[in-house]
Amino acid sequence: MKKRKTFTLLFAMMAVLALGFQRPMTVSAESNTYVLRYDAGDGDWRYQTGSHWDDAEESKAISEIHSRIKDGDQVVIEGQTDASIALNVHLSNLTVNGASTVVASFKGIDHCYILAGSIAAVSGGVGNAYVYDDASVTFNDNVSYLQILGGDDLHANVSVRGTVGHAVGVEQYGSGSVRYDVYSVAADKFNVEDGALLTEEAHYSKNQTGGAPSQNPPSSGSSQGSTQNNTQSGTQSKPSSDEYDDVPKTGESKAVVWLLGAGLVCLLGSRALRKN
Amino acid sequence: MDKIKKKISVILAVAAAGCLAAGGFLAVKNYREARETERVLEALRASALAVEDSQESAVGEPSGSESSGEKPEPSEAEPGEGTSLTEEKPTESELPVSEPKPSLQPNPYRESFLANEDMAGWLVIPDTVIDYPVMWTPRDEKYYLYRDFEGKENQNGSLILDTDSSLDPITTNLIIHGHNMRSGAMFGNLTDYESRDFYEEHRQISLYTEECRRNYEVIAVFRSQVYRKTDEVFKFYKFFQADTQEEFDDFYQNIKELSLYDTGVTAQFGDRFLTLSTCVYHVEQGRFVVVAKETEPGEAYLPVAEEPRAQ
Repeated sequence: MKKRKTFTLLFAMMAVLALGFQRPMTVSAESNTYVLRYDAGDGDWRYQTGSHWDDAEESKAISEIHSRIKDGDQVVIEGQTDASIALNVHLSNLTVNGASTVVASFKGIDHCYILAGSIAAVSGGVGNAYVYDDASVTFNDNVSYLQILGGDDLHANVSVRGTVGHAVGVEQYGSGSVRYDVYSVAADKFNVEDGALLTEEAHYSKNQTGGAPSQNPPSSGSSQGSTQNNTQSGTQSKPSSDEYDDVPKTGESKAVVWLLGAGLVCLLGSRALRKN
Repeated sequence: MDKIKKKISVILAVAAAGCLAAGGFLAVKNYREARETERVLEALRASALAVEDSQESAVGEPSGSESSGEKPEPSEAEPGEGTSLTEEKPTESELPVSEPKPSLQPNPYRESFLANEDMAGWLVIPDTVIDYPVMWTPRDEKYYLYRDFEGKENQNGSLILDTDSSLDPITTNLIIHGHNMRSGAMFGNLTDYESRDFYEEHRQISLYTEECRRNYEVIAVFRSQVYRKTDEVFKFYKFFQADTQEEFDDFYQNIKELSLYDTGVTAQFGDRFLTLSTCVYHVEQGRFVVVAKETEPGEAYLPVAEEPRAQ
């Protein structure tokens, strides 16, 4: 009886463990993406997995995200709210999509996108920030690289409480004329209103080798020196020496092969022991 | 001792059962997902084929099957659209490389574009299984990495256009990533280009966008890898836009040097490229890369939101 119980328990545990393989084996190296929305009814934030909020899908209370979210994950914030959100992780990507008056705090952000129509304040050092169209944002910490983008004209409002390593205002979403291109902006001096740079010249340099109040100056975006004019290109923030470039991993998941192989090995082992 | 052996034997048997059950479950799940995705894609391909067939019958003669790999014949411009019928038909070398032809035709992939606005185009390498939609999600590059055309989880994923590439305005290089599946799906057979014979028979690539059909000819085939951020080497996946001759030459010379064989195809500053990339395992983070140069433009299409005027 006892044997049977143990057997059942072990079987259940192995099945759960083996099934748990499915997801990690597929996306083990990938970061997760969460989309956050403030629920006025609940009076709290809720989240879903994925980059788009789907009303048909079930959402979860924000309290649950703290045990799941990890450094390197990506977050999208949507919806109208004046609530703040704080997550104690370093994000690889933060996108504020049309959300208004959001105050978002993180340990740090590699790439931050403030899309058109958004009004936000972001705390935590930012590697690369991109502010689109008429978005308004205040960065409360340092920004290594800041790109302000618009169509025919620039209309964003941006202020930075920390330093800015390199800031560029460019039309046609990165492929048009450059309105301003400044380096090493002193702390709490970067100010853009309706797309126009209002920072006094004394507080920034027009060339890369100028005064450097920035604590995290950007490095060259491309080893071959190609100009990357796209909206999401730009510079990388202080890469560690063993970190690979961020390119989609297109290998096939070997979960099935590994599972079947492991199953066969275990089976053979078990039979061998019994024979002995 | 026997008791311990017995216990270990039982544990191993349970582990075997668990692993085999999970492996079998996953295999069946993957198979069913792949079949369902293929069914959806097949319907979209059939829809595209129907539009192309109706265009051919409207013209009264075949215009060259896109799926057969034949070079498309330049179509005659319509009156009132900038080109007179009395004008001499330009030779291929006289045609502007990047400008779509003035004659607007219904987009064969109209249904697909309408079905999912994340679709940037449809990639076809004639006479291969590569006949798939290409998804572009600037907000989350990897969204379709493990999702099918309908956004459902799928281990094959979809072909994805690198978010640093852009069709409007078009960048010098469009990079498309796809999974290297053992089943041959997606870019599972891209490594066939290692054979020069395969290349000779599959030189042409077409990308159907919302605006027009873009034609490409393979210019280089090579193995490379994703490098560390601090590595100062040629990184094919970092090249998107060449604004100067120097930037263009750097990419062009590197891909020609890396190419497994000389295709004889050359390029000059102003030309545009399509780069297909998939994982291979000759080194850690290995990539197999096929670069194609844009050649003569194909048909220009009516806006997909509009009804096709010629049926």
